[in-house]
Amino acid sequence: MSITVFQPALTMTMNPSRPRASHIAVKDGRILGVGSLEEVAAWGPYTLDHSLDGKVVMPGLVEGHSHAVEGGMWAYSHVGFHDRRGPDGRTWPGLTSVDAVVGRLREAAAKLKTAEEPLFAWGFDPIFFGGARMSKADLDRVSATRPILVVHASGHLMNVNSAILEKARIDAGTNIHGVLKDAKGEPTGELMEFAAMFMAYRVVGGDYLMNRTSAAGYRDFGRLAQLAGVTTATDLFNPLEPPTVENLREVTADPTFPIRLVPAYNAAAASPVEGIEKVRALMRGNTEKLRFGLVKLMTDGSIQGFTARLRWPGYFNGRENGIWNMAPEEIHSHVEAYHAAGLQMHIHTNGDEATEVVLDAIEAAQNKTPRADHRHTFQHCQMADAAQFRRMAKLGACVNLFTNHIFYWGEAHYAETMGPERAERIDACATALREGVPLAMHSDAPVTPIGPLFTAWCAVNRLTSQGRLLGAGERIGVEEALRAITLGAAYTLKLDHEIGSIEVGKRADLCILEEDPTAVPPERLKDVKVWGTMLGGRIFEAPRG
Amino acid sequence: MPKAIPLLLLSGFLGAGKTTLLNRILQGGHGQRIAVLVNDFGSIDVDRRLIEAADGESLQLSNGCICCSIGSSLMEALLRLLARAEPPERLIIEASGVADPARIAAIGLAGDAFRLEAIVTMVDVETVREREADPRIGATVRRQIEAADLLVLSKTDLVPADTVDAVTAWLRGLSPAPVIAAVEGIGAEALLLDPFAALPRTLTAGGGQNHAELVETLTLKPEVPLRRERVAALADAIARSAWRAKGFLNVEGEGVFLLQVVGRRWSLTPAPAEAPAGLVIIGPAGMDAGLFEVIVAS
Repeated sequence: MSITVFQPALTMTMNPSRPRASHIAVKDGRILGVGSLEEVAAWGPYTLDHSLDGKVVMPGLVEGHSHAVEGGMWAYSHVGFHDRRGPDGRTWPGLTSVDAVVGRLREAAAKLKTAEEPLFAWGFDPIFFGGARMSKADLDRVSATRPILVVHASGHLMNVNSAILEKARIDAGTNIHGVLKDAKGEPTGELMEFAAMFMAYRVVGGDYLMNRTSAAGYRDFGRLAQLAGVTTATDLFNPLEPPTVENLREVTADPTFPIRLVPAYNAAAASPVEGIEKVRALMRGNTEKLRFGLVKLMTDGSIQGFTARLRWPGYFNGRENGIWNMAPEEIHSHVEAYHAAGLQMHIHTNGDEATEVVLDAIEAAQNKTPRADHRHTFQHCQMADAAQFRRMAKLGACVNLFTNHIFYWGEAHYAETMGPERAERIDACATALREGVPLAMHSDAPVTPIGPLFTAWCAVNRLTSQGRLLGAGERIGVEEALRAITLGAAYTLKLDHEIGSIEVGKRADLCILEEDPTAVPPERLKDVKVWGTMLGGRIFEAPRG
Repeated sequence: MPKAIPLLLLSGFLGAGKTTLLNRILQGGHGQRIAVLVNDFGSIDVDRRLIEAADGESLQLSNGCICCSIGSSLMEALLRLLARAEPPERLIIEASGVADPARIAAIGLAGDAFRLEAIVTMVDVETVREREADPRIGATVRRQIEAADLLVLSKTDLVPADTVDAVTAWLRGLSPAPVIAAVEGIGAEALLLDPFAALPRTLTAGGGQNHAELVETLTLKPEVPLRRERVAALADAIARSAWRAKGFLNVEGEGVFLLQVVGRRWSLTPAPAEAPAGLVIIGPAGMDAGLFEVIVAS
């Protein structure tokens, strides 16, 4: 294959031995040379490609904790509080009132083919509506006859209209927890908890849930990631059932699919014996763009949902401690089994008690089956303190912190969930680095939008959505944050020998920017425009939304 | 709308014996098309000759039962089940070892998809006290016990009888639900699925082994139709003192109904007019049989 040389305005390599360069030579989808034109030209005849002229290039961004189901959700309307970009590059402005939500739903309803087709929407987030709640009457303004179902951003609550209430036979006489009622005892259309939400899904069908693992959904996830400069993304909790695996194979085999996908097997879907067998079998079919091998464990819930497991003194507002997704002894037995099998685990822990149980489990597994370089990774791990980070470092574990939380839920953590001191050490990037824990940071898309530059901005500035500086001592530098969203995340996926920096022999995966993220003021890091990406030498220009 | 599917929610902490019981139910000769949704699909171990079809996520058995993996989402598993061409006659959901069963069981308390027969919580007599005292999981274990309509002790053959008695007494302080003992699921399965066939000798009261004489079975055959509030009073009385009842009753002016009592929960659903009247009640010896007679006769 021929050699192509690109000459962006600047190349930031993340390789300390040659941190910046003017030219990149690419051959067979890999980096052949990084340096001056004279240096890379010495490899032989080349074509000079001008498509990156004037751009700033860094390694393709790596999203170490996202969920590919977000792609499929864009088949339905997004009605969130914050602006969000869809797979086509269009930005959907945030909706800051019930009327605005009704307006967007009307537009969406007008595009449906029949009057009976259900209307689904997602991402609804009324936390800054000053206490105003949406009711069935609001949704009935869109239509009282077409079923309408709006899922909240938390995923634990939904709003439905009268059509769904009637079909589901939810009325004043329905006495189950989770059917919210008004002063007259009539259901308001807000449904929470498993059973009430089941009643609604049952009458509209599970399309909204099921379509999220379709091939079309995965394609859209690839586009969302690519728009954000991402070239490798995880799908961090997937039972990997046969139809899903087929869809993943089909989509990633397409040369126009712009990212490498790293699915993590949901270990709760079966026993470790079967899980180990399943992951090993899937790994045999790995390709350059589809990398099975990770195992995901979910141990507790979320801090903002009061379901994370906290150590003493517990929740700041006195709420009862959270709930386990796996019992501590089950965490121990799963960690032991997957560790002994040589597989790498990514383990969800939000509260510090969950983190402690997992530290104990990894330590026990290491003592029983010593294993070099396992790189088990704590995911979210938002409340870990310095002592826990020290243990992580000693055990050879990595951490992937949920820094987007600082912006989206920082206020709630300060006032309600954790209180001032612990909220200030949430997602403690500086402590993790100081204690020597390999660091990545993430969006948890669709929980927050995929966008590593925004995620890095959160770690650098630590500002909440209301502008409060939350934990000045845990801020890190721009260079450190950019490393965490490239080589740092690649390290947690055991792909740092292949991606994460621009070095000879690595894959030609680039994030192509309009300006230098190290030259803009740190508070503007999130606003640096992504022009597009390169994956294995192929350029993907982002659509202008 | 099709008829609501009876739902049994099987709860219990890790190692409480849920899977053992489910394996027995799946290959039992009860003649019912039962769907079982399980967490740990791989631990389902049924006679291979019974398997008609298997796809890694579900098993179709020749006795009409199906067993499906819950996988990542109980919501999706339930929606898939309801979308099947032939709905099951009965659904059993195995709650995960850390689940709060009441949250899931609520799907059988409203709407017309399911009708909750009971939350059955299995309790490992060997370890339950220790677990309840563990600050990390104690609340989870207590929630499962408190939500139960019927508590089934497991592993009673592995501990001294006085341990069984002590655990039983302790459980009675936490929950009004009746406590029965079952060795390896024997007895509990028949009691839950087909009380007509539940043999007292396979059941013991909470007091451990060799207490078969403490079990009593009786049959009520009211000679005249009962008013609805009579039936309700009878069901309440059974739920207070027996373990299980099932049978058909003629309700005055309304027709024939099926009365089901599992532990402290009962339900009354319309039944075919030709169903043979009569109610079988199973409970501890000394249950207030006289009271049942009085309610029926008055």
